[in-house]
Amino acid sequence: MAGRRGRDIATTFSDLWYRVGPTRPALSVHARVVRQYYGPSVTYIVEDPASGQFYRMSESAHFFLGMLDGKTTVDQAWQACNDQLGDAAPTQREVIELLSRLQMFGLMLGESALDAEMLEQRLHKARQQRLRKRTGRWMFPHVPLVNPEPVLRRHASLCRALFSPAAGVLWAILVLVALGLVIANTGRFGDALNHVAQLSPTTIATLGIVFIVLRILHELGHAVACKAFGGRSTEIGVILIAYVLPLPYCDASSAWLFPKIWPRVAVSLGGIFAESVLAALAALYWALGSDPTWTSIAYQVMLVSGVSTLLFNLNPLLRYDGYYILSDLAGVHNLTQRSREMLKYLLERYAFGLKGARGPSYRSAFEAWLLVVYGLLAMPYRIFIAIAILLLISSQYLTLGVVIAVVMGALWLVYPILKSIGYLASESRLEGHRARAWGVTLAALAIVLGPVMLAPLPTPAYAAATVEPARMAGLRTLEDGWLAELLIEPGQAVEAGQVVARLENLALRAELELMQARLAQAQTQYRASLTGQPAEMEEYSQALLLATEQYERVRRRIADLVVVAPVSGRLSPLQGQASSDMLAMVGGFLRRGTALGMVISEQELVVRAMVPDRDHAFVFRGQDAGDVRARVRLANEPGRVVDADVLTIAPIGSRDFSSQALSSQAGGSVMADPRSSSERPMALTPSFVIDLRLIEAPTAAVSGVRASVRLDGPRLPLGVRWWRRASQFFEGRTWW
Amino acid sequence: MVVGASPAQRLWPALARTEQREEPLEGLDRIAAGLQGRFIRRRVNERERQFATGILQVSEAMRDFTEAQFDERVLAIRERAHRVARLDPEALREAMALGVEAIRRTIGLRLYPEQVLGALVLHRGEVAEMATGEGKTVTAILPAALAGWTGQGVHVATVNDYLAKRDAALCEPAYARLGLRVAVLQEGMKRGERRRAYDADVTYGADKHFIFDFLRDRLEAPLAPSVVSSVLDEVTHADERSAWTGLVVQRGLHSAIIDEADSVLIDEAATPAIIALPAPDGMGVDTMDHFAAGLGLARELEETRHYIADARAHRVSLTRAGRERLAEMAADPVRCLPPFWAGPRRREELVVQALNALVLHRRDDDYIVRKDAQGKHEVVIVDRSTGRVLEGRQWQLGLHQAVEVKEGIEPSERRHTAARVSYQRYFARYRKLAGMTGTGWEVAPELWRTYGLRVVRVPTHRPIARIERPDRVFAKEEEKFKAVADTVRRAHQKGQPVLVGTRAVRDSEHVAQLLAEHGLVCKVLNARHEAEEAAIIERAGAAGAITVATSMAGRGTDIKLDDAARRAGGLFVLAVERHHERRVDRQLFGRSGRQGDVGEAAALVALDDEMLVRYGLPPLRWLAKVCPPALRVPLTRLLVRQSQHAATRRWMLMREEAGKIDAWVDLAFHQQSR
Repeated sequence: MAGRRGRDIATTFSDLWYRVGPTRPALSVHARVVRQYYGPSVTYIVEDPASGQFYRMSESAHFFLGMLDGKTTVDQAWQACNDQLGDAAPTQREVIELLSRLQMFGLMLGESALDAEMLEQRLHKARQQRLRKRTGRWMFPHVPLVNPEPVLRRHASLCRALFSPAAGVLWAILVLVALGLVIANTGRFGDALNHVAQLSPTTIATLGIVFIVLRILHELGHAVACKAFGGRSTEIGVILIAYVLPLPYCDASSAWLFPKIWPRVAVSLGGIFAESVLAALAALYWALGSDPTWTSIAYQVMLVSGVSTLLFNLNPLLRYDGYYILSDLAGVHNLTQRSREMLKYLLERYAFGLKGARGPSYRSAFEAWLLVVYGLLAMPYRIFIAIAILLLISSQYLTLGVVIAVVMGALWLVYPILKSIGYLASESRLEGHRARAWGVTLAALAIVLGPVMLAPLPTPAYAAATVEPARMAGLRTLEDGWLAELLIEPGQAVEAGQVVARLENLALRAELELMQARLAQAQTQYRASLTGQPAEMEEYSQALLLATEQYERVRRRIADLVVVAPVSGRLSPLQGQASSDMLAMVGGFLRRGTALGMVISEQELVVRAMVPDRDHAFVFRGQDAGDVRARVRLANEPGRVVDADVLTIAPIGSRDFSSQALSSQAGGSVMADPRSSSERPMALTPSFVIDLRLIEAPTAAVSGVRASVRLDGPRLPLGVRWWRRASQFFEGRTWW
Repeated sequence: MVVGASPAQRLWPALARTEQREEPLEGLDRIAAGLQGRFIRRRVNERERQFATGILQVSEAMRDFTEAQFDERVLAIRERAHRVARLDPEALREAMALGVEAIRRTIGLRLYPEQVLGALVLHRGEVAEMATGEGKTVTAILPAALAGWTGQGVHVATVNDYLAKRDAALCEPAYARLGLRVAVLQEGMKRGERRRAYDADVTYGADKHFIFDFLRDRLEAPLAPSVVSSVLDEVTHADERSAWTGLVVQRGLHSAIIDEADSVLIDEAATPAIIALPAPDGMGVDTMDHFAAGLGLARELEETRHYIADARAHRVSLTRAGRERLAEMAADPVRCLPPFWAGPRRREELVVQALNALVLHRRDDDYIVRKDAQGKHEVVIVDRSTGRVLEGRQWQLGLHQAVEVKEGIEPSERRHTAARVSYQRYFARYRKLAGMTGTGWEVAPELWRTYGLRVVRVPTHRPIARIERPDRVFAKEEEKFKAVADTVRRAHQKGQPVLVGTRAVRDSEHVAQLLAEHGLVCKVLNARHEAEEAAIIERAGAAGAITVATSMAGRGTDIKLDDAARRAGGLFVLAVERHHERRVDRQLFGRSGRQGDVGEAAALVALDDEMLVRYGLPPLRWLAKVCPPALRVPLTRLLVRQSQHAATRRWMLMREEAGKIDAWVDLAFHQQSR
């Protein structure tokens, strides 16, 4: 259909006139023609009640159509038009276009009645169109659910009351009060926002429910408004955005036939009106209520309705309520399509030099500017929203997200690109200007993309890391014994020489007593021998010495029952053990040399990062390790970025984890190979372990904390980087 | 034996709705289909070769048949073809062999394997590309006979009456031997005669007859809106002449074999077939005298300042200054326009139309002025690629009248379209379509895209002995024309017959005059001399003959050499200019070296030739002009290729546009389709 629109319809005569000229059609009685004020001028809208389609026509076209009564031929009517309207009369081509459009709607009565075959074909076409709408252009299928019309009709007076001036005044008071309350509680508002922004699972769930409820209310608002001003709304259903997110919708298109502007605007505003009532009530409860659960839900109602209204509904750049309000107020219909045509026209006329290019018709300079400005704003905004939705979906659902991202990426990015190529390559209007069109397009691309692709930019690589102590010492028992007590809890700091644990060994104590007794006996005997014979004295002195020595040895062994920290630091269980394991040892018998735990020196910490091998090649290619700028962000202090130096780089890459905490099985960000054993998990892809020293260690740097590291490689143009990435991707893969 | 078709036979096919693409392809689909067409064009394969050899073997075995035996076999196959939708390979082999044998017995020609291959390709509904002079006419007998046997009638279309008559006369004995009746459509036949011609098993004719008969049928007997009402109509009027089947001439479009398929399906398809009738009272506004006024205004405008003529895009557009000037002039009461055209929109339209006639349409190139039967002057359109007059055709929407006023001729009555169909949509209606041509390879994508026809290249029977000389390049057109006389003289002195090919009527006359100045006597064949065509072609192959022709000589004309000419080195074809379409060049060169004869071909190119100026890339043209002589020839070859490519593309897009409009209206008003 698109190619047809641009065709020149300005020639007065048409060689196809013979087909319509002698016919005597008349507009079907089923067609509803409505006169509508649109800005300063008048247009007419024809509605096909069967298919719900609309066709907009100019005043002169309507004049022409009015002359067709089934007795006059098209040709006679056209000539009469010429006599009366002169230059403004529709051209033959315009007439053919008008009649064929109405013909396709089935709104023309010919000389012969429509036969069954034709009707069937038409039905088929209409069905196809509806199916296309249902299955969803742009992946937005519509699922109709209920017909609200009967209920609305029964309560029509209520609907009218809801949209009466009195209701408007009440509404204004309510909203003003609510706004006042919110402004008075700005501080609390901010705190609550922080709370919601953490997005805990419960918050997400309630947000979802609140969102759906608000949307339903919104759509009901449209339906009620439509009824209040005398229209009909026959379909409320659900749009499945990307086949996943359900979003209610309401068909209030009968409002398009309202002759006056303000009712049309009011219907468009109906949804926001309904939503704002609930939001205002919620604000009252939030400010005055006490129950914490309900307060938080009330808060979410305010938040969701505010954000969705400002970002989507009232925003004219997307095709929601704001869009229709803008086009009604400015009196410009078909904004999106015509602004696109306008931009295309400007492009063809001025960039491609197509002198004969024809833009969309407009009635005033204001309208022309509106089309241009709107087009320039709407396109980037839509792309932005599209990308945001893409990112949101792909972050929420992992595998499904990838599928959706690929499909939407194809629809929103690849398809338009292919379409533009097709346009440049084969659009017949560009004939004779094709070289220039290509030239301009490529030049513009070069200007935009050239600097991006060619200017050297830092090449960041991101790696997961943990904070690790640079040094650590083991705590081992020096003597056999039962662990009597741990003087220091694991995780607490110890000074060098401080006693960490005490062992008990009763046998040793008994031996000590025995040795003490022996010593005493030896002393007594020695003292007694002082008065005796010198030879005897010599013998006892030997015995005394032996006894002293034995006693001393046992005493030292007793002293060794105490475990002392060799270095200052923090007491920590052994690698692979928890502090509870350490506590469980209390009361147990420990052989000499058993490791109790360790003391980790906190004076020196390193950040140990796992750099994937493909990034490693980027970062350390062509520059020394010392030149690489590294920045670290600790998980427990996310607001701060610390500079770091590269200390060492592992000479070989491996799939071992530098710390188990990084493995995805342990909640880390490095994907673990699901085939590896759970005792010794392996990463999916190899990486290089590098150690970084923090230039100024923040207090939050505690060993074991996760961190993320950004390494700046040499400055490379984007083009080179993509090229290398692509060759890495294809490297080592066999494709044929 | 069936004599004339029964009403039912006429009714059914006309009602059966043929599968048609509703809308022409656009955008990426269109590109994809074009690529597909390019991809699936092919050469014949080994299996087909074997099958063809098999046919020839079977036909060898038939040499000993008595006439009665032969007839019996023909009858058996015919009965079978009538019954089954598709012949099995065994039966196909025998049917083809019968055809081969019939041709041998009647015409006395023994078909080559290559011709049988071509026949197979045609039978499958593809386009056979067979080099010029390979005997395409005879080849068509086999598939046409097969189609004729089904009893549904087959149309063999070619480019003009002369060729249709010649071919039919040549082939008739063979068809008769196969039990088939042949008829030829000619200009000036009455409807009754035409009806009888269509009732024959095989109908020869120029493509325009088929398509205009189709249109006239639609005019005389508009189809009732549906099958049901048609049948009811038919039953209630069964014994009257007014019944629908009694009015129509054709009996459905079953199968067609198109000779010179690229010319018919591609070149002629640029303009739709239109039956135009003088406007009856009450139709159209009185517009007879405004052309003069429009031309008067247009003549006062200056190029580039007031309007821009884009020769390449074939389009004139007014500048802002032009519009203002026009408004000034229109305000002048002396040369006021008729009130209908006085408003700005129509006024500009009228002047653009006049500028179109003034600037873009040139005498003796796009059209010629000649005297009609009553001795009145008239403007007739010359077809761009065949060089022939398009009889009875007019440019639409007043352009024709504007050109007439420009030439100082009383403007003809403005005619209004009464029925129209584009070639694309008409030929797509045939259930089975096949074509043959010498030059189909280049247009394979378009043939596939618009008609679903696949191009198959059939090898030549004998290697081509024609010598093709590289192009000679000149900086200026005058230098080129000087060289023409020399070149012709040299070949003439050797005793070679010479065929000088020119693009426009004007050029052919200019060359003839030049040659006369040099004392060389020549015959001129162009749109003005169509009547003498047969006689001129007959003598063109004699030793020492010189013929100057437009591309009219390019299609189907068989220039037969005499012995002296063959000894002197065969026909020498000299193209004075490269044509917009490479195919036309190839067709012209193909006049020499037919069926393995010796021959010579050369082309002269000047860097300011109209085609190069219009379609050549300016930088490339500049380069060719300033480069050292050694590089000039290869650079010019590149330039010629590029220009031909651009021109071909341009016309292709115009054709597609024409087809699109038709498709669109058909879609909207299909129940009134006619």
